Amino acid sequence: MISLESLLEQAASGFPYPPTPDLTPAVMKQVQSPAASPPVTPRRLVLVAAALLVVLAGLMAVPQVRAAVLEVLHIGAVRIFLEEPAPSMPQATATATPQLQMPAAVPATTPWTAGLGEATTLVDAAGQAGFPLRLPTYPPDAGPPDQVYMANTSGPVVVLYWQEPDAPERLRFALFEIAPGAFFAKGEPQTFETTDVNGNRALWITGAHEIYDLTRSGGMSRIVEANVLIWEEDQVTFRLETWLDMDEALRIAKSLSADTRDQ
Amino acid sequence: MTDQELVRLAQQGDAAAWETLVGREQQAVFRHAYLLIGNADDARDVAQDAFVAAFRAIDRFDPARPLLPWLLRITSNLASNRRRGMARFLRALTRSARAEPDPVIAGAGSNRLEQQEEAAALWQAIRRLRRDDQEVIYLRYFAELSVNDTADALGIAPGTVKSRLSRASGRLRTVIEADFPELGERRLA
Repeated sequence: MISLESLLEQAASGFPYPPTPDLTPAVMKQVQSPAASPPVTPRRLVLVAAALLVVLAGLMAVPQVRAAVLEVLHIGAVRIFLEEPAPSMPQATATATPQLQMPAAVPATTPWTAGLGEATTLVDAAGQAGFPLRLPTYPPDAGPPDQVYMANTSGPVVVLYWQEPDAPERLRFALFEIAPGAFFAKGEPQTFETTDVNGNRALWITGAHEIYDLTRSGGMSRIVEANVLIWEEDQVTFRLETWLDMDEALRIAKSLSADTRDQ
Repeated sequence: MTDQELVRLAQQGDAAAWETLVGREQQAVFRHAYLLIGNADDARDVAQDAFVAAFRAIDRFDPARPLLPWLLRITSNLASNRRRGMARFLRALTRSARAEPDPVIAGAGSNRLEQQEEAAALWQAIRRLRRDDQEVIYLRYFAELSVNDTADALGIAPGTVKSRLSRASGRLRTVIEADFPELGERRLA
């Protein structure tokens, strides 16, 4: 007879792990070339778009993929792939208590801003974006963003980040302002609904999902756990990520106005 | 050079220091990702992303703290929901094209084989548990973190680690009794 603890210890020591791959070359390649994209040129945009079309067309030609991807939604720079639900895992008899989705209580285990691009200032981002940045006037206490990031994929992407006032490590909301040419894909959001922002079609997405920037070298994948509102205005795609509910997100979205501060 | 010294160098932008740390910790990070995801290709991707994300956030890391719990915390976060989404299809396609089999249990002798089979069966039982139960078991027993380091990795108090472990063990025992009798009948006290 043996205790469960001892059984776990024995299992851990004898577990048949696959061989550990050498991660250092791939890691160091990414670490040493941070977001250093070549300048965006019309030719490069065309090549990127063509490459994406080839990849997506190729994928959709595979019967298993075509069967799994039920629909592709498109708003501005974002494509959303709705997939066939995966079969649910059998529930253990001991886990009768349902797993509650309590996003507000879940601590951010990875810095939310990791991998977003280069930290910059609002003034610099406004100068480099190539389109007029817009800032929310709601909530009234939001003020300017606490952090600003800039990425250049196949088009400039500015990320404005507001933190929780009493918990600086926590996301309050973040606004992605995405120029034409950048391209993101989302996989399998759990739920979404159509709404509108200032007369423009918008999508409200809840539930954890992955977002892929398919235009970056090697691709970039990021797990999104908060809610997301996506819409397009004047050829700029806006993506608001927040733990707030849809009503609050819409109020923020509808409050966007041009950044009029001195630059 | 200690981890702490290497972290300080990495915080000053020394990529070589980070490379050394990746070499030191990649096995633990990859294995943790593998336990959570159950697929070697995905685990490699997650482990790689975890090291890149950690380097980019390294200036916010307190070098006085142990590095591995922080890395495993990032790994857990990146692994969540990794089994779902479009990437799953991309990777499945790649795998099917390469027809690369998943690692098989291969022991040097019958005792070793039996131990591996038992470990694999226990893992299947653990995978029936809810996510937070799995994580605390993996960190404490498989990654062999101390209670304090497990607490660090989960972002909870050490006392909570103990209560969560106790709860997870109770649930695991129930799963074993219900669905893995070969584990329970022979062994469990």
